[in-house]
Amino acid sequence: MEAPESTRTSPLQNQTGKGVPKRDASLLGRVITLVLPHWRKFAVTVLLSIGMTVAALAVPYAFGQAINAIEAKDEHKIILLGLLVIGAGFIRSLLSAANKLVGGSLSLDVEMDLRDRIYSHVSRLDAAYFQRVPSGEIVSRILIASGPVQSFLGSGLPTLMSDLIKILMASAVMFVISPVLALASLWALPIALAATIHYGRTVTPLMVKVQARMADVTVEAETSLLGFLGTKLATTQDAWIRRFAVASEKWFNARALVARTAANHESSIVALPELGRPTLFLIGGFQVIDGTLSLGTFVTLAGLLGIAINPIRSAGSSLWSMQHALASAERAFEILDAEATIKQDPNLLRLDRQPTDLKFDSISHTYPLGSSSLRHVEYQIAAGHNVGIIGCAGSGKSSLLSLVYRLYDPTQGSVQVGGHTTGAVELGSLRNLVRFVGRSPVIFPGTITENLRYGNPSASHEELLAALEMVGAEEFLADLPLGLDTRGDDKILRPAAHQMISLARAIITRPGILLIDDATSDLSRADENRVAQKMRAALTDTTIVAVVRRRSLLPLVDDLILLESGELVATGSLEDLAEASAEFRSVFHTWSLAAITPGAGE
Amino acid sequence: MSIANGEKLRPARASVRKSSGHLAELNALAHLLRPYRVRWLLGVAGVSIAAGASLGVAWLAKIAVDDGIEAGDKTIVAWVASGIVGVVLLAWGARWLRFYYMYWTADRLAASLQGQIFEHIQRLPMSFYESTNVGTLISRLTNDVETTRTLFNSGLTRLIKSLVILIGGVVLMFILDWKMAVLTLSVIPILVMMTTVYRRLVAPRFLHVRDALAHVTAYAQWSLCWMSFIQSYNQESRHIGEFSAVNDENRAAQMSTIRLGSIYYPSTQFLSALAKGLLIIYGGLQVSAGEVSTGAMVAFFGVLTAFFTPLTSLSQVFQTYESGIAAVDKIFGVLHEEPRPDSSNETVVPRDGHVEVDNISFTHIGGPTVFRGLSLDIEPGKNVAFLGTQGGGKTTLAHLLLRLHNVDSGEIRIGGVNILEMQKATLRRHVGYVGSRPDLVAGTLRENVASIDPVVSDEELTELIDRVAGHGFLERFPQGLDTHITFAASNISDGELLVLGLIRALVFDPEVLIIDSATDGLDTLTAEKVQSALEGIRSSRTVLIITERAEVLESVDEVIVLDGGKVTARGRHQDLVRSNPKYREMIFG
Repeated sequence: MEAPESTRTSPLQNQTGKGVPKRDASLLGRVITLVLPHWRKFAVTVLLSIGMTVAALAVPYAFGQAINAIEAKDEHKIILLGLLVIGAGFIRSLLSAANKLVGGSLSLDVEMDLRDRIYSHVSRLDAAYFQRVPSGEIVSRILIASGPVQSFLGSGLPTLMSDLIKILMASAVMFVISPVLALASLWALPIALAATIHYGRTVTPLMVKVQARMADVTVEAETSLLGFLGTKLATTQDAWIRRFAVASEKWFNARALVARTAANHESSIVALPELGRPTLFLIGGFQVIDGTLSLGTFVTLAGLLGIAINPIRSAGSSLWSMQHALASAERAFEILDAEATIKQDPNLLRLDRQPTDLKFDSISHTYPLGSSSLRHVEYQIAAGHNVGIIGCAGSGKSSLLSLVYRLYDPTQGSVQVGGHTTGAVELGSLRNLVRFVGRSPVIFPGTITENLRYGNPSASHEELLAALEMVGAEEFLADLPLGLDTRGDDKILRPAAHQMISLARAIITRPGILLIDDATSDLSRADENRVAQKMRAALTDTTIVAVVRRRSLLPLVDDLILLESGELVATGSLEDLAEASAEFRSVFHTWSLAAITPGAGE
Repeated sequence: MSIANGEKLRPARASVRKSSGHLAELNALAHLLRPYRVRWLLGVAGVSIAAGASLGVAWLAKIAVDDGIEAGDKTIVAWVASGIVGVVLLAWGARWLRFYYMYWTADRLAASLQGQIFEHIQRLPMSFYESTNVGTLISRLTNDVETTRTLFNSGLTRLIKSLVILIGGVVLMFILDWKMAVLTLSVIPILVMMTTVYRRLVAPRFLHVRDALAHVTAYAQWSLCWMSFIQSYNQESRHIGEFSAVNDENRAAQMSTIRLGSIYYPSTQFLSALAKGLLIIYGGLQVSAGEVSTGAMVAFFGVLTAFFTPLTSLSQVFQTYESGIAAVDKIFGVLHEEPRPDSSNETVVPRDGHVEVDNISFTHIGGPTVFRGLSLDIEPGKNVAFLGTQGGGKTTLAHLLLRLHNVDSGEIRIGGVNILEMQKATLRRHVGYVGSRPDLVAGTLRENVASIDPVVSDEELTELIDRVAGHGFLERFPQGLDTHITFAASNISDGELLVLGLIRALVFDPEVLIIDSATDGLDTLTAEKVQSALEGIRSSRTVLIITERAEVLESVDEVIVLDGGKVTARGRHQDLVRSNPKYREMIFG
């Protein structure tokens, strides 16, 4: 899978550890910009965290004071302090509830924003991009990437902030109470913080890798599942299962490496600050025995130490969530940074929907993946004229059509509609003017009516019926119990019905140029023949270019062109084509034979 | 809206009631875990020891205060300090075990689960794929496995940790002072009640969240697959809007769980403060009355602090558990889809190419009945064309012959052997199939025609391709057999796809070949070439051709007209044209 591979492997994976922190900083900056539109909610969560911390600090303070009151046998004060703890707890709960609501809605805002942004960006990318990147990959980035980013910005980052606030406030209070004991108990905290930062740097590239491996797994699953019939026919199930197992195993190995790194760092990050407890007990205990410290203050300090070092435990997981988010965000940004080669520019010329002539001006085309399709094609079609393209598999028929509606741009030469190079026409207006119908109909979940109105929501019921009549669909529709309200994906509808709906949908948009690439292949010859005649009679204002694979489509077109290996070798009538090409002569012979069979009706 | 909610609640409630019945699924998970149980137990031991350590420190604090500080004995204080050092170091090692092995086993489990789902899906019959969205399946493989991994990793870790602290904490509190223990623990019933209500309310909402997420996945999946089409119709903004709406549904579902949580979690925090306040008042009075030692009160306060964190986190475990079980539920929903067991016999199928269809009936699941007692005998080596109206049963018959579907009753025999008694892989070697849309898989040309597990050498393959498609065919692909075929955009034309489909069917040199409208879709020039290649191929085997091409109908031994699942005419083309007006109409329109 060479093309997807290059997009899958993040360029950053090849970087040495040296480059990572710098990238981290800018990436983190970019991730944080995602929260900017919601900065008010973010500020509120930070303020609420500060309030919650103050309320939390009141508890060890009150307990220490209570111990002192116990020593002094001041019962009144004991009860007062007990009530203080309950009151502080109540306020803290209120703040915490508000925090959860605001933080939760913030995190969802960020997640939805990101998903919507990726999706709408992807909507503007062109066929060349979709050829490179499988859609499963994009889906995995939209869904799997937005989760960690959400949980980091919505809960990881605010937690990180409130943890820092807790550490700083609790430490500050300890220093105010007793600088010596604060030092004695907090000495390992900076070491733990340093270990946390080191952890972050080590685990980032590993997480990027885990994400990439997970995307590989998704792609394997998608490709095999989308092609399930092929898989079944080629009896490749076992091979796919093995192949999937390999992808899954690679993911696991990447994960296992993360597990080891996590074990090394996280266990140390939690354990190191705990080493402050014995020193506090030793020095503080001696001070109380010596009478230089009250037992209550000692107890308060022990409680504050708990508040100061506890967040370190979650600092590990906040950081983890940050790394996870960065790795995911990186993959999301890769999509957001992808640019379409066919760009939309609203300032370009807009074409009206009208009968339009079409010119292929010395066109050559090579596909992004390297296969060449067209060579120096030069041809002009008058407005309202219908032309059929004949040629072998791979001769470039479909490619020629794809250039007209700018699925791709030609590598050389230009396509001109109404005298304007397609590249100089505003894309939206071009796509309103030019309509393409292919062999595989796209049927959306929804009723037949909804599918028909897809390109022209304001089309009247009469217009729908007229188009359906033209494509020969009125008969089977009359048989359907729900008529046009039948769901498009209903099993009653056969492939031919789908093709008819797809063709009618294109006609309903009243295009100036209609491109038909084997869009009637599932119809019977007799039906195709009828449809061809009806369309030709009704669509006199439309320039039609159709790939002609069967004789029965011939009534649709006025002229023919013959493509061989990407070159235009003949134009004109069947006879003209037969004269110019030995290869076509044999076909012509068969077609003529069939034409004189009794009842052929052409 | 309210009706819709009411409807959503019902199945969800049913699943809550079922939650005690999740044993079977947990069992299955445990079964997956079995090979790694030693490492898992190491992880569990790590979690337990690390959790117990915090209680140890509280107990040591009592000794420090009562026997050391209050008694003025510095040696005891020094001993306690070194004891704490020991406990911290022990917990350090335990935490390493916990982090490494809990992650390791959860990841291992996720990988096996993923493999199992994938393998299972691969073996399911075609009807499953027809009724299930690929996006949904991907969601099972990724989102739901990830959620299950979280359940095992952080969910289980939290559960064990909480249980150790809670049980150890209660025991320790009662040892310290049973009256203080009873008083402070009196808030627990309130907590349990709140938790029960919360769980009942939140469970259906979590299911809803998962469903909503699956909708997002599915929508993204299909709409991205069709993006080029959407763009050609200028409808990007409509789909952006629709995606955003699906997304908002997901958001609303998540927000409702957040709202519940914002009431529940802070309330549990308040209960912890309430217990501490009560302890200060009651315990303080007891200590000052000399009933309880100061150290015991300090230790009690320490245990209480350690005690309420796991209580709240235990309720968070429920959250992980609920979403985890919901995911496991869905995964097992897929795993419980029964594939029809493949035959285990190594049947020897005579290669005579005799096809017998014996009184078969078939109805599409949730769809129309196609056959009611159809019988057909196709003699070895005959070329037979099938003709008929759409829905007459031609393609369904082909699918039945390939066992993409299975007959409801009756028998299909190839070479005298019932195809249900053959292994599917054997069947594929005897019956080749070319469809009108060769569903290729994304991969190289070689992988597509000769499977990704090549049993055919490149030389043989090249020879076959040259024979079927002509010498020039392979040269058009820049990397030859290694050329990649992609889904999203065509780097290969429809005609080329069909040629590949034909080659794929011939790789195993089957004695029965089914050609389902394949050449009908080809442009005439290519069809000519393929037809002439087919001449040689057809003469040596039994061929069933579904076609409308007059020239093909002329060339076969027999034409069978299938209409409404019945044979309405059978004979030589020339004879039928002469004698059967309805047939004439079908051919010439």
